[in-house]
Amino acid sequence: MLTSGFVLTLAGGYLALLFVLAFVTDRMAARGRAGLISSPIVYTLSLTVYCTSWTFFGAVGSAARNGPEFATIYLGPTLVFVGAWFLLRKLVRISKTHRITSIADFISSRYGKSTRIAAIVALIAVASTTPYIALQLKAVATSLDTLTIGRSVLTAEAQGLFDDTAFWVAASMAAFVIIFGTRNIGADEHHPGVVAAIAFESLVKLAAFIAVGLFVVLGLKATGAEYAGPLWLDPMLRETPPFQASDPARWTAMLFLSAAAIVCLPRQFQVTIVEVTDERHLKTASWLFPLYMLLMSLFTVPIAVAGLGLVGDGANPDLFVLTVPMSVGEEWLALAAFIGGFSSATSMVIVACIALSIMISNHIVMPLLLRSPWLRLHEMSDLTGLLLAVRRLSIVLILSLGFIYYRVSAHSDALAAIGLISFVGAAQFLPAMVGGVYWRGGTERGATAGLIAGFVVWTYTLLLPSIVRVGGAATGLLTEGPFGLGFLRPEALFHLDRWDPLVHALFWTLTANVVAYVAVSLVSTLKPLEQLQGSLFVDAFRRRPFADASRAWSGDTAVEDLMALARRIIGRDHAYRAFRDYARSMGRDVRELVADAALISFVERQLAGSIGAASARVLVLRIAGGETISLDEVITILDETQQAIEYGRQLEQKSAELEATAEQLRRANTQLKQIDTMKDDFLNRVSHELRTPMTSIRSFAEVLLEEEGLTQEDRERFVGIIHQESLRLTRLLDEILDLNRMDAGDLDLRLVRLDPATTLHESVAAMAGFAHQRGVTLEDAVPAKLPEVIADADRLKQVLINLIHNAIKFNDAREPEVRVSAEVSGREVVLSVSDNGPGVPAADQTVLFRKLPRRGGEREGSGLGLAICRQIVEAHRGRIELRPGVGKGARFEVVLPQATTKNEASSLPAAVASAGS
Amino acid sequence: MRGRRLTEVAFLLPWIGAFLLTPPFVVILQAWSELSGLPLFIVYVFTCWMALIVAGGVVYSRLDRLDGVDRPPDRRLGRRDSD
Repeated sequence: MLTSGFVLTLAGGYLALLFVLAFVTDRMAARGRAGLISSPIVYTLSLTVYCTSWTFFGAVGSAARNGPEFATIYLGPTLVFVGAWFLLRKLVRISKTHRITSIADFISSRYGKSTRIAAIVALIAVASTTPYIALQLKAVATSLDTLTIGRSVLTAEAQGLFDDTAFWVAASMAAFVIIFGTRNIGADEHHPGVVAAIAFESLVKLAAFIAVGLFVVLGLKATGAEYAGPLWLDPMLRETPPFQASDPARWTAMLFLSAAAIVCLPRQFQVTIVEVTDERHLKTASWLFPLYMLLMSLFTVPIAVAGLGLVGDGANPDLFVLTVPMSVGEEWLALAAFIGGFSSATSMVIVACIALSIMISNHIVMPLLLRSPWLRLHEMSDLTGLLLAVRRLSIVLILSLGFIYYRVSAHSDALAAIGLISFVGAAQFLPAMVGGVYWRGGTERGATAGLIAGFVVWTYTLLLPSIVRVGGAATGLLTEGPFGLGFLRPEALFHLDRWDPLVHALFWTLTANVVAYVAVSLVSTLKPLEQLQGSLFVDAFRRRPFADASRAWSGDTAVEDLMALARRIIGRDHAYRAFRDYARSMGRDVRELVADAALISFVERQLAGSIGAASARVLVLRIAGGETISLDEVITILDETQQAIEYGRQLEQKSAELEATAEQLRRANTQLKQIDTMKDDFLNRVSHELRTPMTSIRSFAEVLLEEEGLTQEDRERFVGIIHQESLRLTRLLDEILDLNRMDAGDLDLRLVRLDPATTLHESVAAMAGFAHQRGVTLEDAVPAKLPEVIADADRLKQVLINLIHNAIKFNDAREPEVRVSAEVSGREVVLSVSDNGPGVPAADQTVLFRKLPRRGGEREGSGLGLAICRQIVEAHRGRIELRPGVGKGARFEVVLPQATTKNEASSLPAAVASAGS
Repeated sequence: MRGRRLTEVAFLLPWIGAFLLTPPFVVILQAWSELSGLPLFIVYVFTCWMALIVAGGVVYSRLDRLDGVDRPPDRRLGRRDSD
């Protein structure tokens, strides 16, 4: 057994180490060397103040009692952080802009810098944190006792105050917090030393927990007769709670609750929102913090199972982290576990105390003092000392409250249960906070009503039963209801019976809270300042708030007064530096400053950083003596910004439209250019085509004119050539004209119902002579009869003859063959001409049917034939396609729709017209 | 445009997580655990958890790289998250 003195010395040494760390960091930060502290990693580690001794010891206890639901405590925050870019970033942005110092300040600032609501939030925060602090004291005290004397003192015998370990734990924690949490009053509540200490503690507790976890997973063997593997995998323990199912309703409720807690717990708000130095840190924290929590709970189940198998059901499962190593004689490991738990408890207490003391001093004590007519505080020259004293007293008060709660309730309640009471209390801030940043309509009255309703129901359904149970008195309240009114039983309100008390309380508190918030907000009117603040919060990402907020002042003040005021609150040096920096940012000297609305607003923000928005306003109001803004002014401000936003949005839209139009124009231009090139190309080719026959006609004509001694035979031959060439010229011109006519859309089709087989036969017959002359086998494989199509017989024949002609002409196979066939495919008739010739080169296939003469090769025909074919077929609502034929050969298909009873000839001209384009 | 996609994914992540980690999935997995006698549920929860972390890591580091110096959004009034 470790001696008590040794363990206490070690714990003291650990605290001393934290002191040194915090001290050094504060020093470095003061000299502007806070590089490491302002890194996203340290920020993330400081968030793990969420993992208190409750999760360190209690998660295992929860797993041993209720199964896997312990995971929800981490899963909720995981969900919130994975979505950090939305809610959390908005909260950070708002808090940085308005120099928010605490959650009470945040809510009060949103609802018109109301003093009343800030005080309410601060009270609720104190009330809901007290059980939590008690929990930490209890955890440290019991773990210390377990480690040193093998049992928890409190469960054994009642102790005097000074014999109670928890008392000394509380006292030393108070000392630590007072020394480091209230060293100075900053312009904004940054505590780099504390953040560093907490980041360090996060590593300590993680290492301790993982050490115990690894020991359990790898080191502990079962000693059973038939099973000797790792203890936590012992089949005998397979039926224990950690492997059992958990209640889905409770699971969901806890998931929601922990998600709410990660933003609403005062200490989480402090580390996540107030202490953050850079909004971008959220990007790292969004995955690193969940990862930390995953590592932290990786071994929870094995430790719980091993604890149940090794220590047994009778022992307190909350201490398994400690008792499992102890029961197998690993005292050093148990000591490490104790330090881990101690570390999680201290970090929670430190941050919670700082956050609460800021709230108590800024929102409860200072407003009261400032308003009291006897003290005349507003005339005092230096308030910093007073402010610090108030904070230190608050810390003592908070820890005392926690200690009292612990003394009252120490005999019962698992750690997790106490923690959850706290969580539900903190969740009461959720509607006012989240509603406030997404809903303009929430009013101060609404938020106040919601908070009070939620708090009252929380006290009645959760806090009261927990106290009654512990006290053992008046248990009839729980079973019979107050005055025997059964429907008012705290844990079965309105006969909502047999629900888990936690789910029950969560439901009623949030229902009361949200309903009151929304309903009262809807019936109450927004005060001008609420309206302004509301719109600044909701549109945090969209505007530059200072420009607007500064206009919320209209008064007449001297710069000296403001400076004096600032000196009194934030200290001489701070005040001087702030004014100097402000003047610099305006491009002026301090002496040239004018007490305009901007400066007043600036001073108010500086003060808000130390005493909260509401108190700062009270003070500045006295000095500035100006009127708070009138409704008209606010409306003008809002209108202007609204207009600016609207205007910006319209501009954005317009520019998007313009961009789209420009894109379209660009595309059209490219197309035009292409067409232009094609046209040039076409003209080029055509004139070339025309030139060749012209040249030969001219030269032969010249020969005929000039040569005297020509024989009759020669003359006739030359005239024959001239005739042929002029025929070719005419044909070419005809084709060009044809194509042009079709382009213009006035192709004259005489459409009738006809059997395409007939046309095919006729075309084959017409080309038989040419085929014979070329030695090509022309095969007619067309069936005797085909379904009717609607077509112009002559034009169709022109297409087919052209295709057959090409197939024959370009066929250079040894045994040239051309096959004409037809088939029915669905509702279409496919007429095909295939050959075993050279086929169409891949490069030409894309331009084959275009209005472009064939490039290169033999110059026979204009090359316009296929373009004409396509135009004709398309005018028939058909299509012409090139497919691979036999061997290398090509296969041209003309696909025409079958004639139906409906699509009579008359319905086609529309297609004819459109085919031209 | 990629920036906007990423923001949308980032927005979806917590909702996907919430969908996977609440009933009915929770009920289904617990039933499977009970039927099979294996701690499937715990494995499922930790798998989802890890997947969320990895997805979050990927999305946020991309967002970070995309933003570069991360212009504050109020200055890009009129310019959506285009890259």
